[in-house]
Amino acid sequence: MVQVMLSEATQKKIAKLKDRYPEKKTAILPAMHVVFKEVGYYNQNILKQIADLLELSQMEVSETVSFYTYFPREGVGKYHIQVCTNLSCSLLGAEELVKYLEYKLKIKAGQTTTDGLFTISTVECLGSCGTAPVMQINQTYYENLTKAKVDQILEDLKKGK
Amino acid sequence: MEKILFKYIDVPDQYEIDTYIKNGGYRALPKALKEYSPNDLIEMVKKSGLRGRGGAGFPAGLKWGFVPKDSPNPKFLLCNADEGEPGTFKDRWLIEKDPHQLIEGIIISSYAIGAHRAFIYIRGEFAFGAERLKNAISEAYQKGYLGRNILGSGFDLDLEVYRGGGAYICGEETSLMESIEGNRGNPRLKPPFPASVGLYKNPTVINNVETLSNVPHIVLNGALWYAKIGMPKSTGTKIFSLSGHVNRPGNYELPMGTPLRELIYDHGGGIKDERELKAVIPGGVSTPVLTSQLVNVKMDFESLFEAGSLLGSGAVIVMDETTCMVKVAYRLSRFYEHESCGKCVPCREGTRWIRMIMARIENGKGREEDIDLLLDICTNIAGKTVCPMGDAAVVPIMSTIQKFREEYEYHIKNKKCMVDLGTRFV
Amino acid sequence: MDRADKTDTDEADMVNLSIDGKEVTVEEGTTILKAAQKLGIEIPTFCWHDKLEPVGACRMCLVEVEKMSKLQIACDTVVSEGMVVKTNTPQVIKARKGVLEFLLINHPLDCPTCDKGGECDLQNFVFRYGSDKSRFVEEKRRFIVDPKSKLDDLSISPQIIRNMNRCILCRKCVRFINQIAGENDLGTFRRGAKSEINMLPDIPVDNPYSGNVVEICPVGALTSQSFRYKIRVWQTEKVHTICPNCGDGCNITLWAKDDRVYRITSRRNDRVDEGFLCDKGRFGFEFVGLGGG
Repeated sequence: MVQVMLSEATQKKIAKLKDRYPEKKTAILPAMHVVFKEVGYYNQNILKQIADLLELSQMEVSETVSFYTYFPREGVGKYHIQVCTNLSCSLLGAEELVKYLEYKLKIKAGQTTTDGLFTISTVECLGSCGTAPVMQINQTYYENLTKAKVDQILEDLKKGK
Repeated sequence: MEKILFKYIDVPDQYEIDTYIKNGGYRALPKALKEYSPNDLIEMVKKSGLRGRGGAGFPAGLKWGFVPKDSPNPKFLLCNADEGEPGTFKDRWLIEKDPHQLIEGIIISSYAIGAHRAFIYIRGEFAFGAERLKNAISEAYQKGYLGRNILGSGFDLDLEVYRGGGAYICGEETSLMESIEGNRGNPRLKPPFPASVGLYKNPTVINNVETLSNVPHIVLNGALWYAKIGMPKSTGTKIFSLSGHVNRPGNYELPMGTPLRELIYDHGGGIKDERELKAVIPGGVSTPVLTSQLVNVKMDFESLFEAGSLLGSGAVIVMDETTCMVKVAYRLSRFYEHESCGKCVPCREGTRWIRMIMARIENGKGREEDIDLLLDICTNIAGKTVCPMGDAAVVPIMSTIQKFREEYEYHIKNKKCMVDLGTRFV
Repeated sequence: MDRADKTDTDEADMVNLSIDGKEVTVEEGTTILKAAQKLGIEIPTFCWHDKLEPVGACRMCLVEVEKMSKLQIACDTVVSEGMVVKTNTPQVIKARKGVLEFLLINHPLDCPTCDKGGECDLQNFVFRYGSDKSRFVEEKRRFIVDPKSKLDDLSISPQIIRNMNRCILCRKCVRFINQIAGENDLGTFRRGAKSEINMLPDIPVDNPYSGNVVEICPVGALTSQSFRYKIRVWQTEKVHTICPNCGDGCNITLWAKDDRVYRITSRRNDRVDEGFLCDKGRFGFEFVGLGGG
């Protein structure tokens, strides 16, 4: 586990959430969104810091956070490719899209490339069924995907665009 | 027919408050605040026949009426924007393209139930939609539509966006409240119902995005105008999210009671690649599959119920002749296992067991007795769980076995699909 | 209204109902489960505990209530005037069998080496209400504590061992720790079929009442370091006594054989101890030498 210290700015943002709601626990998910945006992942060490900032116990924060699947855990690549494989996307080739990504990045779904750049995950419905197949990379949706589009997206990301 | 919710959906900057106002927005709000009492509004929504658009179809006015008027506790309005039912993407459009229509609906509805604090609970994945809403909300504050003494009426309301964390179950109203309270998204036991004991134990109303977006139009045009649209018991329009094997997938706002055939062929441009229609899931994956014979069914709460299915969220998933129904059921069994919260035994253990059996059949290791075993497991889940998710989880399995049993039998006997989807990703 | 103000004949606060054809009158607000207990009718439960908030999670107590389409949980359904409850109809029996089957499919069935054997609710209810055949042919779920050791056992405190594979997730342990002990060093993590009860990584359960979770656990998911593998529970003799550790005088039972004490459990006396013991009373016998070799 990496001992990440949340930056002062991030800490301030989280601390401000503490009194915003009728109950302090309500601030847990908003704090996690701050961490997602500013750190990109979480681990127990980060949860401990959130707990301290919100004046909650580490257990309260950990139990809640462990329930939700949206926040990436430590070890996720810089670009987290989440492919929707629910029904509407599957009907239009989501499984083949996953295989194509696996072929292009030389990893399996659930794995991260050795350079730490990409992680492929399969996820449930992203709510974009009319533009299937769809994937979300970090917080951005990519819709109506084709092989050519995937090639372009990966190229751009590798170049840091 | 003239569109109501989607009238300005193609206007590129409709999400900006000035454009929304230019197109007639924020006219219902002063009318509601000045001309009507909260009780008038509840009666008006009751008379309009507006029913919840999230899936259950509960009459919105009736739900509002359950809020105890004499309660000394603060009341809350929660907008359910968790939109997790696979196949559904209508709320995302309403949020991204016309957020002020929703916000205006929330302000009027909060006034009607006496809430001074409201949240929009939006699924975590909708980062763009959350941003849009945040900007729209701050625009509304600047113009005095939110905050203290709204338009000089003496009514106060604070509204904010609350982002979820990736959990289908949080679309269930009691899980949604648990989630906002910072807890694991486990459903609560009912009673007590949210109208009396809801968020932070206070009276709470939870309405879907589409439901609330209808409210300004009802206030402006009247309950009777709304009640005349659609069907007698399913009034108004419905946004259908059309996906799957159709030429023009997308969201279509049509009167309740529009035939499925019209939606698929006239609006959706028919089946892709000139193939034959095989099956349709009419209201999100938790509603029973219909065979192509039922393509003339009307799309409203009553007609679909009579046809053996449900309107649900209005998410229409179209499947052509190359679709293996066993594979469909297997795919959905994985979804329900992943989304079970784990609180109660039948859902937690049953969804996993079903997925394992479905995986075996899909991978050519099915046994003859598996079909009846699946059905029996389904009956041990349905109606026996804390929340409706148990009932939902068995729907794809039971309805595909009921209507396409021969495909299961073929799969088990021949260790492969009866039909082949072929390659769809190019 | 104060209890003292009420009289037994205060009709307005009493409700009449029938359970399995037997009439009973109980106070308004009583649950079906409590009313059944008054009649001596057993409704099996796993997650219910009368000192904890009901959660309705195990679904073992589903019963039929006339005029209601679905089965209702007895533990949290409040009685009403004229209610007709049935606890042994074919529908109820099938639901119970279903719940027990769901609980058993992933259970390791290691009763021969499980300390809970002989006093396990799961074992007893399966014996009474369960099926004698398994329809589960898939691989059982296994929570592996450490990928290298392949062990099921995790030490969550110096006194408590967790075996997640036996757990039925009634969460009585976590609820006890939160609601009675007022601590939160044990929690529920992840969700769905992957849910588990655990401490925080490297932060063992450490509160003065932790031992109660072993007693409260309806299965062998939480066992005590000091008792495990020492003796079968039915080979011991029970000695009822009072805890000598402090002036509170909690009522306890010593489980002994041949002058050696193997464990101490609570002998509930609501006026004294509410059915719970502190760890000093529960595990202290080892320190004063009663435990012997």
